[in-house]
Formats: sequence, structure tokens, C-alpha cells
Amino acid sequence: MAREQFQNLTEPMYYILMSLLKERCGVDIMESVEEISKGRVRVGPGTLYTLLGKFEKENMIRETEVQGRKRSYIITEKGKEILLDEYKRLITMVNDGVVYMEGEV
Amino acid sequence: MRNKNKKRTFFIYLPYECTAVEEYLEQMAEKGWLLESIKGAFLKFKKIEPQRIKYSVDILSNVSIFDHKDSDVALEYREYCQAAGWTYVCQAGKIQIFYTKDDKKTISIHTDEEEKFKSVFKASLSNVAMQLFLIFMFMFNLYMQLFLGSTDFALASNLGIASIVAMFSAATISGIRIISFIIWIIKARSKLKENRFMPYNNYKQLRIKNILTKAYTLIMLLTLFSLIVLDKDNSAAFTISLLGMICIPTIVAICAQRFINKKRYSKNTNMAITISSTLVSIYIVLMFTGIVVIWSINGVRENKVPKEKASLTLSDFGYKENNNESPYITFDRSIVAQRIYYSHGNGNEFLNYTIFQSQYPWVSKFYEKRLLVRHRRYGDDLKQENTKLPRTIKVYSDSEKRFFIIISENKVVDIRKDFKNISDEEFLNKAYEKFFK
Repeated sequence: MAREQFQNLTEPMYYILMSLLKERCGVDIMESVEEISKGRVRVGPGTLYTLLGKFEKENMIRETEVQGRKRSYIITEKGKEILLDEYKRLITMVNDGVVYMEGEV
Repeated sequence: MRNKNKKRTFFIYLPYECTAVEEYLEQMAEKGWLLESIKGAFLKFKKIEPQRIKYSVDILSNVSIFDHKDSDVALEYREYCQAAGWTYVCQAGKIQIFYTKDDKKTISIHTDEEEKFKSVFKASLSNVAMQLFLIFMFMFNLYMQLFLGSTDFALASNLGIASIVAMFSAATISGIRIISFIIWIIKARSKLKENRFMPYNNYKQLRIKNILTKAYTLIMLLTLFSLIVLDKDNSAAFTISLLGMICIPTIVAICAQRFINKKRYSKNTNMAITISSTLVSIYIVLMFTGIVVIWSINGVRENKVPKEKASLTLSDFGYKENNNESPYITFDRSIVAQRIYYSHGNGNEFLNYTIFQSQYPWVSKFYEKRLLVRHRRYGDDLKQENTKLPRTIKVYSDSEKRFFIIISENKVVDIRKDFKNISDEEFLNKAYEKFFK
């Protein structure tokens, strides 16, 4: 089920998982997503909060530390696998584009 | 003195009307009012410099209706939003309200419309379930009052009629709400494909809806008030207990909510508190209803119904009245119908009848149909009789000639008799003469 739901990661999902390759507290993810994408992708706090809940439920990330109400997370092996799959898929897409579109466009 | 720096408004909204509420709050800010808190449908504002403010009326579906205010989940969520530049205003159940003065730099709380749709949908479900429950309850009650029970009692009392109108209109309103929610889901689903959130309606529509709701509530409250307090037929005790029935559950619910918010117990404890407080109010209401019934029965005995109301008596047939016990007579009247009930026996003979009369032929016709159905349900094999009475009068009777129903255009008399030595024709003539001439 989980694999199906996260088969194709949405852009925010992709960037959130990427930023969690390092341990980070929830609030910092917003900034790091913006940083990684050089300001192109921004995740709203509400969306981030819901997605973190979903990722945690699917064991794609885990909680590492709780300080007061500040929770930190890091990606799990399962999460890494899904992220990597998506990364490979995107590369394939780009490569196919390179072969097929160059010269055409 | 009213504080000039504060303003309260009454504003009814549902979770999926969040964008319309945002519009309303933004308009208020432009008029110089900043939202301070929400209690149910009451919004409290404080005076500020008129300015452009961007509001976000946000639904946090993780918060349960049994959670106390400012639960840990809500507090954590707020930190996320505050980190993104939103200022927290207040909470109303699952709804969290934020604002920002710099809407160009601040990112919207939801950047994924699909997720937003899901949380709004989830938050609306409990409301829709509640509406469905109300429809079911009201419809069941209407069915009981109009089709199963003694229809005459509901139609011949103003309170009965008011409750029929109130329940029917409330069920209709709930029905319309559910239908519009379903329409919203369908529309929103198709809009989502374009990655856009489908607002349920805009502020203009919500305002019109609000005005209608307020007018409806006001009319219902005034009607109820005039029926309970101003109706002279009701005794003071009846009035007080009826008002108690309405006020007590409200007071108990408010107290329970305050207690829950103050004590900050876990969700399960809160659920237990809510359920037990509901049970307590049901118990108190039942007790009050009992008192009302006893009082109203006593009330009938106290202010005796004049005997003339019951025009047909045992003595009309030459029988002795029972001297030990006076006839049991009740009289009820509403704006559409009146009802007289008479019952008396002397040990050997017995007479009992209900006269139902209405100035509206269709009300009388409705009662007639229900009455026949009811008799048949009890196994009385009623058939229409040929009589020597005028053609406009219909008569139904069973094979043992114990039950008679005499019907004119606006009057239905349901009679049960246990007489000896009197022919049916003689009896019918007498009854016709007394009731219809």
C-alpha cells in the first residue's frame, strides 16, 4: 500500500525526504527545502505537518529527538529506498528526454 | 457600558466554508477590526488601524472534538505555522486561525491542495454525520407523532404544531446542507485535477445564508417563547419546567466544555466527561418531562374543562351518571384544530369519544385517514355504513357496533360505546344531533 501511495513522489515530498537525509527538526525542513531547491520549491507549514505525519506512519522517517514540542526526524532505510527509486526514475526520464528530444526541440 | 474597542458578531460557518470566513475576516480588518477569539458562532474582534491582513482559516483534522483547547498536537502545529511567519489568533474546535500582515513573503499554510481538501473533508464528516443523525431523529419523531401515535394530540396543541414545523424545517435544512456538501465534494474533486482548491462558497453567499439562518433561528425562538410563556392555557409550573428542559442541557454542556478546557485531561477522559455530562442532562430532562406530565395532568383536574364542551353524555341516553366519579374531559386547542376528549362509565354502560375539529378540511381529512389506519392496525374491522343521516355525513363502524366514527367535512368524532337496549339508529341520531347540529 505504502509503496503504491508513494510510487511517484510529489515535488514537496521529494524535497522533504531529501532534506531529511540529515537529522533535522520539523520547522527547519521548510528552510532547507527552499535552500536545496534554490528557492524554487516552498512547502507550506500545514502541508509539511501533514506529510511528516504520513511519512512517519509509513516508517519512511523516524523521530530522533523530542525537545519540548520540537521534534527532530531522520529518513529511514525504507524512506531512502523510495527516495532513491524516485531519483532513478527522474534520471531515466531526463536521459530518455536527452536521447529523444535533442535535435527535435 | 459597551466597550467601544471590542465588537462581537454572530457568524455561522462550516469547516468547508473556510475561504468564505477568510474573506469575511479580511473585510473586517479593512474596517479596522482584528479577530480575537471565537466561541461557537460568536466572533470577538478588537479595534485596530484599518489595514490589509491575510487570514488563514485552517483545519487541523488531527484534533479530535474530544480534545481540550490548545492540545499538544495543536500547539505543535502552531509552531510550524508561526515559524513560517503566521501569527496565531485562536482555535474553534478543529479550526485554527492565523493571520499575516505580509502576505507576499509569507507562504500559504497549505501548498498542496489535495492535502487541504482531505483535511477539510475529514473535518466536515463529523458535522455531516451529526446532520444525518438529526434528520433521522426528526423524521422518526415526525413519523411517530403524525403516523404512529394519536395524531389528534399533536395537531390540537400549539406546542405540538410548533414542534412539527420546527422538526420538519430543521430536517429540511439539514438535508439541504448534506446535499450541498456532496455537490461541493464532486466539484472540488474535479477542480483538484487542475490543482486548485474549490471554495464551498464566497463571503457574499455565506452572508446571505447567515442572514437566512439567523432569521429562521429568531422566528423559531420567538415562536417557542410565545408558545411557552404567553399561552394562557399553560400553567406557570409547566412553563418553568419546559424552559428548564431547554436551558439545562445547554448549561450542562457549557460547564462540561469549560471543565475540559481547564483540566487538560487526555482525550479518553474528555470523551468520558462529555458522554457522562450528556447522560446527566438526558436524565435531568427526563425528570423534568415527568414533572411536566404530572403537572399538566393535575392542571387539567384543577381548572376543570366546562361540561358543555362535551355535548354528549350518558344521561342523553337515559343512563345514570356515575356520581362517585365525574366524567374525564380534556380540551385542547391549537391554531389549526381543537380536540375534546370525553370518557365516562357507570359500571354497566360506558361512553368514550374524541371530537376532532378543524377549520381546514385537509387537516380534518388527514386526521380521518390516520384514525382509520390506526383502528385497522388494532384489528377493528371498520366498514362504511349506510345511514339515514344527511349525505355529507360518513359513518364507519365495526361488526360488533362498538366503535363509531362519524365524519363531516371539518369534524371527526371517534366514539366507543358499551350500551344495551339502544338501537344503533337511535344512537347515531342522538350523536348527530349533539355533535353536528
